[in-house]
Amino acid sequence: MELDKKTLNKKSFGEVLPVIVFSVLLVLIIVVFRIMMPGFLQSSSVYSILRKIASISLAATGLTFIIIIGKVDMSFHLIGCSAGVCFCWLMVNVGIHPVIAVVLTLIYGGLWGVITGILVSKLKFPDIITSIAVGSIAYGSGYLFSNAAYIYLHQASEKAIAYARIATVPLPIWIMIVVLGICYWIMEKTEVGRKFYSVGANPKTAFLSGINVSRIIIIAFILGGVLVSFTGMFMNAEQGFGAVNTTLSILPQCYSAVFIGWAIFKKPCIHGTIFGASLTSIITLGMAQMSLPYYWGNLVNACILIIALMISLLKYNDREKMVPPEKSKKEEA
Amino acid sequence: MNKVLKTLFRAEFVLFYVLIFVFLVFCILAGPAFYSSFNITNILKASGPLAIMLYGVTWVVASGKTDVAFPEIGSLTSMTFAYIYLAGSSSVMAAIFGIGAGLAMGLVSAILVIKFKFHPLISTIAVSTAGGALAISISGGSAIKLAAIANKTFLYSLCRQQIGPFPMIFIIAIVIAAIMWFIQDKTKFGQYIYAIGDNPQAVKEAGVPTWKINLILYIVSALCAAFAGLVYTITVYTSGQPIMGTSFFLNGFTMVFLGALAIKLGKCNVIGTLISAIILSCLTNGLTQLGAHYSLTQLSKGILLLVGVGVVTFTRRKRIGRTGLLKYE
Amino acid sequence: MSSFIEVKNVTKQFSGMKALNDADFSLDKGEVRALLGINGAGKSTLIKVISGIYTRDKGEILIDGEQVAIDKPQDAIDLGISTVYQDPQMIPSFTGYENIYLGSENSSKLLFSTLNRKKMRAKAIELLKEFPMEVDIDKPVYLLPAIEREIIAILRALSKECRLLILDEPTSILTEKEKHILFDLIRLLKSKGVSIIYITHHLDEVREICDSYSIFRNGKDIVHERIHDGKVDMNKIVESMLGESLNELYPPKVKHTTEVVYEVQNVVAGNKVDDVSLTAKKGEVLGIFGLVGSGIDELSKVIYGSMNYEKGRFIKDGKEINLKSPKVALDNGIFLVPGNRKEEGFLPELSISFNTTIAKIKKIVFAGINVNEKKETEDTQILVSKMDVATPTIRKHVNELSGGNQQKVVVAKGLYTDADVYIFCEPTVGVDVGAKNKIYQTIRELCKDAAVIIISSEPEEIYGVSDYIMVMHKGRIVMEKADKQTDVKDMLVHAIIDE
Repeated sequence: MELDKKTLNKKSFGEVLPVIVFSVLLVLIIVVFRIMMPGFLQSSSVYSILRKIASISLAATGLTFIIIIGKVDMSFHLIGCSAGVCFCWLMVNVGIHPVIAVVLTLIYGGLWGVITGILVSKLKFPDIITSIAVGSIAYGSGYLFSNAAYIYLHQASEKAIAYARIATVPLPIWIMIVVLGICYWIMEKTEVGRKFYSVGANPKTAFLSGINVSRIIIIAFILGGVLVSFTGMFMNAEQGFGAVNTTLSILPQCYSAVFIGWAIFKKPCIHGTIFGASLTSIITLGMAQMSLPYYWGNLVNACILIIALMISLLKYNDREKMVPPEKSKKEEA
Repeated sequence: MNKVLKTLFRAEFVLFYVLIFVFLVFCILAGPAFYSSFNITNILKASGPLAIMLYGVTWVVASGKTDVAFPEIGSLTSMTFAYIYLAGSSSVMAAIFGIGAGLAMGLVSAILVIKFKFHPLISTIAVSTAGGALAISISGGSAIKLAAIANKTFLYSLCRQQIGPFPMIFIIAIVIAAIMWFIQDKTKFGQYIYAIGDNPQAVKEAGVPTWKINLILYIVSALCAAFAGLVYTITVYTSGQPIMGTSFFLNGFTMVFLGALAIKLGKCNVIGTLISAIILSCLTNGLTQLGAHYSLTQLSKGILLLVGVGVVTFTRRKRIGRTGLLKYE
Repeated sequence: MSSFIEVKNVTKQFSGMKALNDADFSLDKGEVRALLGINGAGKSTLIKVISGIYTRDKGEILIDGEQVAIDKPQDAIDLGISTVYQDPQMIPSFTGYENIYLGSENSSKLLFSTLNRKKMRAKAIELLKEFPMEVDIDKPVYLLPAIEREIIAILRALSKECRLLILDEPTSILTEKEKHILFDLIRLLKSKGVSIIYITHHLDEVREICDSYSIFRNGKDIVHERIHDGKVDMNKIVESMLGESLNELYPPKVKHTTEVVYEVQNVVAGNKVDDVSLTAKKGEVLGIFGLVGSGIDELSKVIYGSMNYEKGRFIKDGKEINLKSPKVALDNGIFLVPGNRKEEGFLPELSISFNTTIAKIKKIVFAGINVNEKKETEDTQILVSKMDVATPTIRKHVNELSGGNQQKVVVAKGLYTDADVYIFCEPTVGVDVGAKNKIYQTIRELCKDAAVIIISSEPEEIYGVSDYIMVMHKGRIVMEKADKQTDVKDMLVHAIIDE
């Protein structure tokens, strides 16, 4: 193992190559957009792209936690909707200070995650359908806040979460950097992160290694709910009003983000998702700014998702977890 | 606990009871406006196409997979039909193209899941996103009005018929359910759907060509959704709809899982889906008449879905058993 | 009598290891042959080759004197060869007759052809007339007791015009009474000319029901004997199964002074663990031997807190502990190397260092939260060297290692927890000789400062490594002796005979 002594902090070429390829791809795409629209990524358009990246990254990261532990979630975009209107309602109808409203909203999002988490981990409900159900209940609750109308945000302080800038960088980006930085650190550098990866690798073995698997599942769903609440708040503040259907459309983009990240780094991970979120956001917004209708962006996103799936060649074995191809074929004596 | 379960088992008609219960509750709450012949017809008119849209998905879910593409298949069919019809083709031609487009989406899902062995949910998310985008792109996001179509298609005139208080489209839904019920219950294919849902490994070991069955399932799912989309386009909206309404998604899964409470306890089936469609239509109709908040409708559906999932989960656990007694969570 | 099926000079290799080594095997029509041999001797490989799951590398298979190609399971079925495994795969919610005819519900090849359940049921009844057995074919099979499920599986095989029926450990899930029902069925099949290969560890069953036996060792058929008048030379069989003991495989046993560390009292778990008590002592290796199905796997899980139990007390270092999860066990210094390393032992797609440190990750956690990767690497390297894991780097994913090396990583994981009690369950299944030796060495080294329990279905392993030996049979402890007072034959005899 002399190899380990020398390469402790160095990654092998095979690990670095996808990152390089991808970064080059990202730059190329930006360049292409730039050529087609000289104003791309300059001044005002930069800010909207940055805000979008922040929104998608946070929601997608929440989803990443759930995918890392081997589950799927169809509730996060619905929780985001609910949390977004809750936020507006708290500030406008109840008159709570924006900062406190943020905190309360995050807790609100987390609570929905707890419900799904408990149903899936303790009662062994199937993840997909249960998250659809709980998400729908959350979405319905959103209507209670908004009374099926828009909640208009008139004051600058209410919209500050999206528009405020610190050192000319929009607040959402700062929040994204801090929160995702913490998430990355948790997953890659701490004990808890290892427990997440263990549960994802094999829940039975994780259990026998002394990990409280139920607790990890619940935490993952809580994180999913909390992180997407940020997205709900950003998007509503940006558009200036709270609407229940605001974050509905982020579902496919977030899935794309997570799987692009998986394709690059050979495992679902926070840093991969950030890359993926950047790619999908830039493409979506770039196409929108080219005056291409927004749905072309969706189409491209869907294709990217399929390409990402093909690159990582993840096979789905009859309700077992996803595994790469050759390794699932080993014969046993 | 055993006693309760025994009653449930014997009463595989529990969903009928639920339907009757819901109906009566709204009769009491909303009065004559609710149980008038006109209103009942409306309810049935709404449940017909709704049920048809989900018949195929019912089978896919029974075989153990999730298919979320059905609303977008409906949209794509709708828009393709409208576009081609307005471009001058006959309604039949347009219908063929419309259903063909929906079918194409189903085939893509099938290829991704069967050939490439991707996760069924993720694959159908991708396909629904792509299909939905294509649907919207046909007209740039707005509906395509087809006012002129009203009197020209056989399908429309057919759907205007009624037999007593029963609208034609509802009867069509029953007929399709009956045919699919026959296939489900009396053919090898139907047998294999449920076998795959219970233990796919055993089915493969028995030498059954599961890929063929899965392929057919995705095709049927797409056809049902496409046909329903067509019906909606012609009769309900009289326009091509780029987005078939976000409530289809929740309604759909609620129907499929609640449907597992009927006839084949714990297993999704088309009769159950049909009955659930009626229940949901009653719910929506009744709540609207009572002037209830939209959120109440959403909430009640979400809770119903959870109940359905709970029943399916618990019966499945009973079947698989706790062999090994391993405590692992 | 002409042979019905003949297997000649067949070899089958898996990544360097010869599971079948130029093996010969033949069977007559209507013959019931027991297939004996310890784990890894080649029995299951042989039947997998005959039933088409594996393709042989070399050699030929002849049926009725003619060479046949069996390249996939369907080929075997077409030739009349069917296998029934332990706990056969079925569709739980389908009835018995639906399961019997799964895949062949009617004579049509069309998927959409109608199936007539009444006709299927009638066909099943016809089949039952030919092979009269008491079984409820109308209930969904998840409601049936084990013997009836097995009968359904056998009926399924018979419905395909079966000429050779292979039964793999058929009695492991059956009660005593149920076994006799199975034997009646076997005699019936015999009278109809069906040949049967009967794989088992239970020599009393061989005596009762088989015409002959074949003993496999190291991938070859070394003994083939007819059974006359139900007489069987147990000693000879046991000796042949074991062969020359590879004494070099087991390290010398150094005796130490002992101290009680972990006591298990009167534990009951379903019908698999029936009032078992044991005492694990530091300075001593406790070996628990039992055949497949005797409850040893369940016992290993119960004493580690990973399986539910109805009764029992667990006392560590004199204090009673509430053993409600593996976490509690680990916190109390108990570690289990589980029986199935692929599904329970290691985390796939994760590195050796990740796997090694995961059970006691606190040791590399810095300031309460951060993982110190440098320490992780150092600690892992120490253990990897100690266990002789063959790998170019500790960042390799564990699932890419060979079986023996994987098991060594699992053991290393245990060593990392600095436990007081180590439980090894089936530690050398599918593991090469070198790794076996290493694991036995580790066990003996560990017992100096910790209590070691080794639970296994390989008698020589238990005998070779333990100081104190217990034998488990049908959930109960039927023998407890110091190693000097017993031997492998004695152990086997206790494990298979009902008292």
